Amino acid sequence: METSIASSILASLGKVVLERQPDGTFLQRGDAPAWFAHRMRGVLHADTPIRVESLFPFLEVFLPEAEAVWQGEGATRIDSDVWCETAEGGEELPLEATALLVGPARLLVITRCDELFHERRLVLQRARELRITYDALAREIEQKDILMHCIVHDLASPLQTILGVLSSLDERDPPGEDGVLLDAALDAALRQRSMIREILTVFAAEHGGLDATHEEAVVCDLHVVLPHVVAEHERTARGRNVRIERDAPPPGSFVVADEPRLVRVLANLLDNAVRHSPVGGHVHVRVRGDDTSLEVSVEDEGPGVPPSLAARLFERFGRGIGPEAGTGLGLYFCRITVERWGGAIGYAAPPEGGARFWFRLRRAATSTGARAA
Amino acid sequence: MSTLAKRKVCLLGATGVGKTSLVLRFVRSIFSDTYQTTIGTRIETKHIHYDDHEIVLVLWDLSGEDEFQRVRLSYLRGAAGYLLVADGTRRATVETALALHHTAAALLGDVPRVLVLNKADLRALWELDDASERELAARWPVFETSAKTGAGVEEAFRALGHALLPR
Repeated sequence: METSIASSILASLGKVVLERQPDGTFLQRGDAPAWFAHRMRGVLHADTPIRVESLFPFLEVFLPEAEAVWQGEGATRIDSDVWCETAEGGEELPLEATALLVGPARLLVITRCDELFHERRLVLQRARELRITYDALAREIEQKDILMHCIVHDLASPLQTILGVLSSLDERDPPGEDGVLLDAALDAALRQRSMIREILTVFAAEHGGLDATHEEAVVCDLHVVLPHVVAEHERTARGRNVRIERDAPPPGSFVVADEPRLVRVLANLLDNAVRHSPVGGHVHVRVRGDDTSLEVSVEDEGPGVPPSLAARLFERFGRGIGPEAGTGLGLYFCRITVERWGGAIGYAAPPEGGARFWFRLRRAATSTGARAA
Repeated sequence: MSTLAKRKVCLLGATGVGKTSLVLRFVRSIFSDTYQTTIGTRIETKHIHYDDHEIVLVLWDLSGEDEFQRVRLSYLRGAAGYLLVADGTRRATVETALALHHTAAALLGDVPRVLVLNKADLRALWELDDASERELAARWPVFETSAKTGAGVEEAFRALGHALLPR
């Protein structure tokens, strides 16, 4: 009676119990669940031998593993992966097999596992859909970047002509209002060229222009680069009645960075500082360091960065608003460049007002292999 | 009919390339736009007739290879041939298919196989260019298929089945 109840419970749980015979066939033990009876096209007699691998081809790969259990070698049970057969009418029939040794009986339990199957599929499907969507978006962004690069590159050619013409006219030193208008046009054209260069530089940095292995090898001396960049910006600063004051890094201030891009990083920060400084203001460029790194900061006395913008300052297109706002790529370029050198960059709002941008670069070994002082 | 042979055939490829859709199109002539990922293995059978021969393909549709699930190599055991499936709109899936081919060939030896470039209905969006396809075709029997429209599906399976007929 108890055996009969247990058998009915197993069947109602969707499990069929089969016992392996010495000749490799199986005999059904207990009641058969409906799905199994349907597959067998009727109720079997207890002594009808079953070739399970013919009934379920998947078991061809599971039975050899089950054999080890039935021979008493190692584990006393083993579970298969879930597999899916197709029932009549096209219905999915998810199944799972367990081989176990109970006393002398070598048992194979096959379970219909719809719930487990659907839960697992839900999770895996979501993960895979997200992966496919992510890949598709990444490809789309890359294509759009390339398109933007082409457009910006094409915009640069006619601009060169405009700049050439404006420069020629400027050399004639036109008098009065004409001269003022010409200067304004020339300034605007130069600014546009600078923005185009910025976009093209970012594109180059994002699309394989930088090689991390190579980055380790590039070294430049802040002692040489910093005065050079500051000197280039002094003329513009004077035009706005802004004064740039700088520290002098000691000779041999070698850092992991390459000179052309370090110049652009410094130029970006100085441009911003001068542009946002009040007339008559000061910009301070400071350098400080420890054994492993050198930090450069650029401080201005402007209005500072609104807190709402500060968090995304170094993101792509994380630009400010108003006429002084740039392309939104300058600080982004600074961040990806500095980070690829293994450095860091950031912004701080000094309590006394203004803005303080800083970046920190690793000290580099000198050509003799020793760390620079 | 003079002979009836049963042959195990595995479908291998990256996730989402359309392996299950190809099987459903071939076996049951149905297609659904709803993507349903395969868990583990899905098994279907299909009889194919050739002149005076009939062959039964037991199709093992294996879960796609990706970072979430690996193809269990033991499932290839006993396969008489395999179908490598790639998605023409995703070039990386061709690389996955070729990597799976190397694994399968190491286990099964030089058994018949075909390379299927699926999603031919999205030809305009393919990342795989003609030159690459010609290069593949020089090394493989290559079929462009669309599980959605059915184009090329029967031909791909029949070609593999034909190579598996008893000689």
